[in-house]
Amino acid sequence: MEIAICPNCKKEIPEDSKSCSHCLKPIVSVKYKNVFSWQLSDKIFLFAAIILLIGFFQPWFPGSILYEDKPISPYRMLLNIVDLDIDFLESYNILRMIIIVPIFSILLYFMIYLRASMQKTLFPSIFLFLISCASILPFFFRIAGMTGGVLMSLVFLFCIIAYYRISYMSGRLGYASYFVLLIFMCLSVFIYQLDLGKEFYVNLETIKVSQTYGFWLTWLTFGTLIFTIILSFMKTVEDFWLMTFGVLLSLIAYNTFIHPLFVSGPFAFFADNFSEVGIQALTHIKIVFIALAIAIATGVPLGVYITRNPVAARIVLYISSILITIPSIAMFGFMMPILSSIDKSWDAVSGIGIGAVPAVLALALYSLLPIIRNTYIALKNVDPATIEAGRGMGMTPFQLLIKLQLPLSAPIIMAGVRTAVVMGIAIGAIAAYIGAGGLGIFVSQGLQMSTNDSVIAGAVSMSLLAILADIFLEQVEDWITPAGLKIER
Amino acid sequence: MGTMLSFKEVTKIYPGAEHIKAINELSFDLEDGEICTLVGPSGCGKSTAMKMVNRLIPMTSGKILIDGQNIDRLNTIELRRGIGYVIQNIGLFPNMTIGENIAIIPKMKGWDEGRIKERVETLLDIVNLPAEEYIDRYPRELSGGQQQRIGVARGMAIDPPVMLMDEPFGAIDPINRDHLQNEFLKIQAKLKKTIVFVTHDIDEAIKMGDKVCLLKDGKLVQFASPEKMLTEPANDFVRDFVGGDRTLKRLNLLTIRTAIRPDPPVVLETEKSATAGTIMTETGAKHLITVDSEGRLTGYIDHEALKKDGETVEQIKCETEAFLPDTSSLKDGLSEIFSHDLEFLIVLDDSKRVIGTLYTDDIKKILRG
Repeated sequence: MEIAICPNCKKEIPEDSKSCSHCLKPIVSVKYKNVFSWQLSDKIFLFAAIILLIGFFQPWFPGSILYEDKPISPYRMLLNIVDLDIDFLESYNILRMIIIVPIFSILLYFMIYLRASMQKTLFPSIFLFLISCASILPFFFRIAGMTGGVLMSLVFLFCIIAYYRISYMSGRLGYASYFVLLIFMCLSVFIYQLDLGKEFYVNLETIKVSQTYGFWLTWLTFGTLIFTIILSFMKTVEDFWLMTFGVLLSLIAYNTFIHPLFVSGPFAFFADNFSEVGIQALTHIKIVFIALAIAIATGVPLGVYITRNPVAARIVLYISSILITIPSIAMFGFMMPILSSIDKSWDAVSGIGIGAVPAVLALALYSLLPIIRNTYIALKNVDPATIEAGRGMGMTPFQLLIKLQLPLSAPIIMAGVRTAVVMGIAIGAIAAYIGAGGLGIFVSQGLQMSTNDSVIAGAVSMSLLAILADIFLEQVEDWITPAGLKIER
Repeated sequence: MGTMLSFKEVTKIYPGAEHIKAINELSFDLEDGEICTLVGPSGCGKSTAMKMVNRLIPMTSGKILIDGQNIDRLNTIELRRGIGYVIQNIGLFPNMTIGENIAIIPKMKGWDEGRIKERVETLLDIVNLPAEEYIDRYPRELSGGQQQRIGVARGMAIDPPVMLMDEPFGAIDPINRDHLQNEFLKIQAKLKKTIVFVTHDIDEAIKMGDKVCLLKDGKLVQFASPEKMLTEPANDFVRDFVGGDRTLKRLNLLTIRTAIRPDPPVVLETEKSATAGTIMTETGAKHLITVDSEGRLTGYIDHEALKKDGETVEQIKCETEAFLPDTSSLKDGLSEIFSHDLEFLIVLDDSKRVIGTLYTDDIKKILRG
């Protein structure tokens, strides 16, 4: 059944409905159609697949081995090129991959039709299932030996069959086949790509695939997979086409404007140091988000408390206003001597730079003001009639807080959190000076060595990070805003 | 029927304003199932008096008894959960659906899911909002009047014997307010709650109350039935407050039944026209009401009609709209008489049978007492 979306209340309704079953308003014309109708089982399955794929590159992944007392990822192990500079493959190829994605968007559109046709008959599903099994199961034996291979195969088959069964019972076999196909493609092409796979299948005298072909096929499936995930966030066919045109345009733009930049300039720096940028970006995110967690954990309760104590409110807001006016470089310097002793023990756990604790604490202090103030203002602005009604009905102060005040304040508190995060990402650049790591390193190093490319790469990646974080938090804000508050009067 | 709610010399003095008694030795008793409207000029302490019942405002001295129990002896939270509370700005929780809003006290009381659901559906039914349509919607999707009805339903969630209502219809336009008042009175006729109803509008107070409690500067001026308050105002303040038109206001309280003139001149519509003429000359009536065999109104005939050709009364009778049921207020009756320039109004019972007529003279007599 195709799903349409009610133009009025934006909920899913059966196609060709005369009136919306939720808001009961008549539907004049159904403009929107869902590309996908995702269910929980699909999401879980896809999530598991993504974890598997990510894990494939991780040293902690099951199946990893120790190489000179260091764990290495299955990917490296299978490539058998531990000594090779793997950064090249892991960074440059991911860039390539991102660019290849749009090309396969069109392909995906055909796959959607494939899905629709699979919905009607069982044969392609079974056929694909058998082929996939044949290509994937020997792989398990290779990794885990005889006993392990049997076990892994059984677990694997069980998962797949269970997923098929759930999908079949809800009449959605087509979806299941589509996802299973996607995941098998991903896994199997990985094997084809590798020397191991080639050797293995040659030995089995079954299939022979060139490594180059496998390489491209890998990114193709990766692209399709990522695009599928992107699709899941899109509600309408219009969105799909917008996206397709958008990526085609950006492809052209890439070839004419951006690609030359990769040869020299900041982008070249970016591409050359991709994994380093990635690592520092992660550190940056870690510092900002730990600081944010501390600021939320202290700021929100403090904001709640001061709504009940006007004297404390003045003092707390005053102090947090003063804190935010302290220049960041002074704040970091101030924190260093106080906290460097704790730093060592912390470092062992979190694995971030030597100045991490002072950086985290300084950022937490900076983040306090927007969070405390927004919490305070939001709680103060909850309609007094609502609170009086709650009190008059016999809600305890705690129930009032949990059931009314906090949910009603959530959007404004989240706005404070967003301000704090964007500010934190920006101020976090200074943290590089006290050895906390983060994207600020590229700026500080670039300034010291007069390499503008480095400075620009650092600055651009921080801006991107701030924008992405803000978009993400906007989404979070949308999630935690109670549905009843989103309705415009 | 015993005393459900009583105020005993309740006094409230706000800290920082010790010389002013916000409520000054307020005492009155309220019978089970009665609506008591607290009314008075702004600042008279009517809301304060009401909020002391569920201890949103603590009293300074005196006591309030609910069903014989002193409220000071009860746990505040339990007390509040046992009293329905409806406020002026409705105070629905915008983050919860209608169903969740109504279910909030039952949930806090630990009712099981099935019972809560059943109760919510019953309440929505009582306030005339179909459950299947409204239960999952949010307050902001509803109009003011609908929200107010949900507010009332929420107040009644656990079927409390006592309800407090603080200007519940204050924020609604006059037409809808009138409609909601009538609906509420219908609900009350079924449920028989003891209600303390705060309003600043004397018309509303008189319409809604079984007892009207008029306050001024925290002091009780008069506590009486609306009828008594209009006929025997305790002093000049009451007389002023109920207004110079208090006699007209009584029209609203009285039904047509009280002023009905029985045994109207009627004629069966199957009778001969000539018979009708005879009856008219004999009784001296200018109009004859025509009825069918069951006594239901079909029209009337006058001297003009008698001149028409026609074998039976049915063929010469005229249509009429000059009738009202005997449960309508005298105000409606009078209005009908004036707007159609009638000599009298035909009064019908529930099954549309003619039971009498209403003349302005009779209304005057009633008002004179």
